[in-house]
Amino acid sequence: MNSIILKTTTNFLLALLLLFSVFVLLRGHYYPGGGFVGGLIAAIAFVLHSFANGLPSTRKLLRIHPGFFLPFGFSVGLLSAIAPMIFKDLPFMTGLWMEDPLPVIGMVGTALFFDIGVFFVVIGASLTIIFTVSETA
Amino acid sequence: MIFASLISFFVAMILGFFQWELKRKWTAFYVLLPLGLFAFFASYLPEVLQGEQVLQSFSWVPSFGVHLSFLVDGLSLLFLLLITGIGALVFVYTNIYMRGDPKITRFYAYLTLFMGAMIGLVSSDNLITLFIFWELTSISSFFLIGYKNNDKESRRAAIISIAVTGFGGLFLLAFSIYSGVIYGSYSIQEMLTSTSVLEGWQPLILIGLVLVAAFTKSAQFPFHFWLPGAMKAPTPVSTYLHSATMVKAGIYLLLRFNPLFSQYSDWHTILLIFGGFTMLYAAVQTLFQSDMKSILAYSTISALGIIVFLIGIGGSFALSAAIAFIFAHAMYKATLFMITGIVDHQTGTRDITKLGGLGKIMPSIRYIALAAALSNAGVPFFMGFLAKDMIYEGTLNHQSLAVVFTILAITTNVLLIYAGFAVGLKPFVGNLPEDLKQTTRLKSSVWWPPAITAFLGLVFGAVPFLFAGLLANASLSVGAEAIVPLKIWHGFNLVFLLSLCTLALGLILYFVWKMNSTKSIFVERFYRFAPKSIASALFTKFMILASRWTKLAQNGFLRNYVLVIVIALTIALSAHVFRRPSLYLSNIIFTPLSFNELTLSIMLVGSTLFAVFSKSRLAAIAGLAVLGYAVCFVFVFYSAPDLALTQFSIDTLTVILFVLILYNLPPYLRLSNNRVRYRDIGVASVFGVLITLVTLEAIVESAQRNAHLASYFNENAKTLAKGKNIVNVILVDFRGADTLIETVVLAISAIGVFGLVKLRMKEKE
Repeated sequence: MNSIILKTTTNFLLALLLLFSVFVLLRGHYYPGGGFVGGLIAAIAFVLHSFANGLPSTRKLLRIHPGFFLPFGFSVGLLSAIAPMIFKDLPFMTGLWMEDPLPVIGMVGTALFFDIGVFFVVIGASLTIIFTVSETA
Repeated sequence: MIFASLISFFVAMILGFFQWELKRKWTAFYVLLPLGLFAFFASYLPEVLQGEQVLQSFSWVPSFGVHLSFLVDGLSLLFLLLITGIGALVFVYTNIYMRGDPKITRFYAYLTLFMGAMIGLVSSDNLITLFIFWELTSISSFFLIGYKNNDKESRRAAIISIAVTGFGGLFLLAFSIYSGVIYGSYSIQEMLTSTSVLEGWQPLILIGLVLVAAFTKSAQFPFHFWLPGAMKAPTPVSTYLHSATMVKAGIYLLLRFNPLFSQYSDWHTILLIFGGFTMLYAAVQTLFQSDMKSILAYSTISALGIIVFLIGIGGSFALSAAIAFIFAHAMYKATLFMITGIVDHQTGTRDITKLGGLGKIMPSIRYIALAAALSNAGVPFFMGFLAKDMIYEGTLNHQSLAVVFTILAITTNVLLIYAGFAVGLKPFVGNLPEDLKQTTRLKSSVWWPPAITAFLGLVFGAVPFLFAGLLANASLSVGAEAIVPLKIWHGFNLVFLLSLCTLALGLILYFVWKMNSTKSIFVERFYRFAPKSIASALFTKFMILASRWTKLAQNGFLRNYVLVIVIALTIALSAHVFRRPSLYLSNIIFTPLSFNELTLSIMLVGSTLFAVFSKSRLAAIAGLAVLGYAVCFVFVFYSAPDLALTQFSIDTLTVILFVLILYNLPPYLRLSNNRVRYRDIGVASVFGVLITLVTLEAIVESAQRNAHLASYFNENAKTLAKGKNIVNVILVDFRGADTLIETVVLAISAIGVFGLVKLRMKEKE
């Protein structure tokens, strides 16, 4: 697709959509949203960018292969799940929470990190699949 | 003990993954692990010799009663010392034998893995962990047999061995679970001390299960054929796994459960029949083999048969004999295997009809081999003599069939004496053939691992009280009532006479029987009826069946997969739905249709029809997209914002993916004909109706039945998980483990797509 309007707008839209995806991720614990949806929105943002500017430029923007989000996200999720076993000697996946909410982010606990892990796995999986398929097209 | 096992696995993992090239002189350090473990287990000797048991227990999966509990008693300790002791010698031997092999680190990794599994197996007190270690020994054995993976025969032997031992492993699993159900515990000690009595068919089923497991592992007829095949492995493997340790795992299992089953006469009958037949059958086979390793393989099978036979006889004498024989056999058979490896390495052949006169070239080896052959023959002052004595005492002490059993044992032993001399004496005496004159002399260090095993056989044979304590404790822990004294000289009695007789007959057989090719041709005619041919025929038939089935079920057309999945689901669901058909219809509650609902319904149905009837793929995808967004609206109207959001994003991505894939698809090659269409309409309609019914059930029935779940999440989301969004709280907290596994699934599917597509691209290039 070679549209100058789309190219220009996606540069802003990418940032906005990514910001929105983080917003959706963070509010997940209290309002509709969460890591899964957030990850999908972020993936859509990148796919949109690749539609406008071509896949190579999106790849350049990402710097790393989206597949690397998979182990990263999974490790974050797993670490947050075993953190209570390591630090507090509590069972697997027990929620640990900070006493007071942080500004902007809200309550911080292992569940949030778990959701962040999901977020990255979802981005990694959807982008890997879509990029791989579109490369063959 | 678990640490002994774990440290081996850890070392194996490091060696296997990193495979760094150690300078040759440093490879000697690998030996430190088995040596250290040997010292560690030897430190249990004082405790165990006083009749104590060492129990270590850790909770692993407490909700299923699976504990990592490990027990060291006399029997376990005997095996542990054999495993680590012979392990250390084999490690040394490997270092010399496999010199210059580029993959030697991997070889050590497999050996170490095997050692860890074996340690776990013989010290495990929990049936489930026992099973896991059992399978691990099969798997590491598979790797070791198939180590020369360029050789087709090696690969085939590896597959056959894992197929047979894995088949037995399933029976062990069944045994573990069934006895866990009966006894209410997976602990072996609790089983053995349990007072509950088995009723009806229970003992026979349990005995059958454990025997199949043990017979496959310990190569008893009709499962014996994998062991001669396994001789394709490098000689250190044959020494370690297929004579001294792994094949005795089945024997270990029999001995371990002997106290439990010895009260049932079936146990003895089956063991006697199979053990007796195996020992004689395999011993006769040795007469017709010319390959040194094959002779040793069949004599090992025969020896295992003797042990099974002894367990079958039962009673203090036979059980002590079994244990003494395990030890004696491990010593001389390991020696003979290592000698065979050296001969093979130096001369390039293992054919006894071609070998001879090697004693001149390798004098040290000659005496070591002779010592092992003499121990095997049961010459006084060797370990084998004690074992043979005890075997005859065992058979003579049987109540009714003493004479028959003794004759059986003598016949087998005579044949085995021939086998021992054929390998341990024949290649070293006589004239040196012309083509072996160039044989290089040995590197000095290679002879000392077999020298140690041979020497130990002599030491324990000459000074039996060194071994008496462990033997007594081991035999007490397998159900012997009295301690059998271990003596060289019992006086000039029947047993001694029988020993001499056996020795004389064996020597006569060795001098009279000359193996040649006509004899091997003669015996090959019978191989058609051997279990091996039957099994390989079954194997071939199974492969044909599998490929036909694959062609049927996995024909590569996505539409057929969908069809199969839908039909299978239809059958499963209809079984569920038609149990109570009245339920569903009575649950439908009609409410007046609102404007929103009407519009949505029109959208849903319209887009579906459009997708189905459109002639272009792109248009069909557009129709599906509209359908997806309409469903999204359904979620919005019925206040499921989380679902709506997710559905919206997923639908968007799906459409993008579809469009991308469209580029790669060929245009419609041929539109389906009417017959196929009517079939699809039928399948789809039935499936749709069923899904509707199940949905109705979910809405009405389950909502009532599982109302407590909704209220539980509602009440506890805030207090327990500090969240207000119940959907999210369930995902990341209450059912977080599910989500964690789902992320793995997601990652795997992404990697799968990546791999498949990239592979295609490479093929195109």
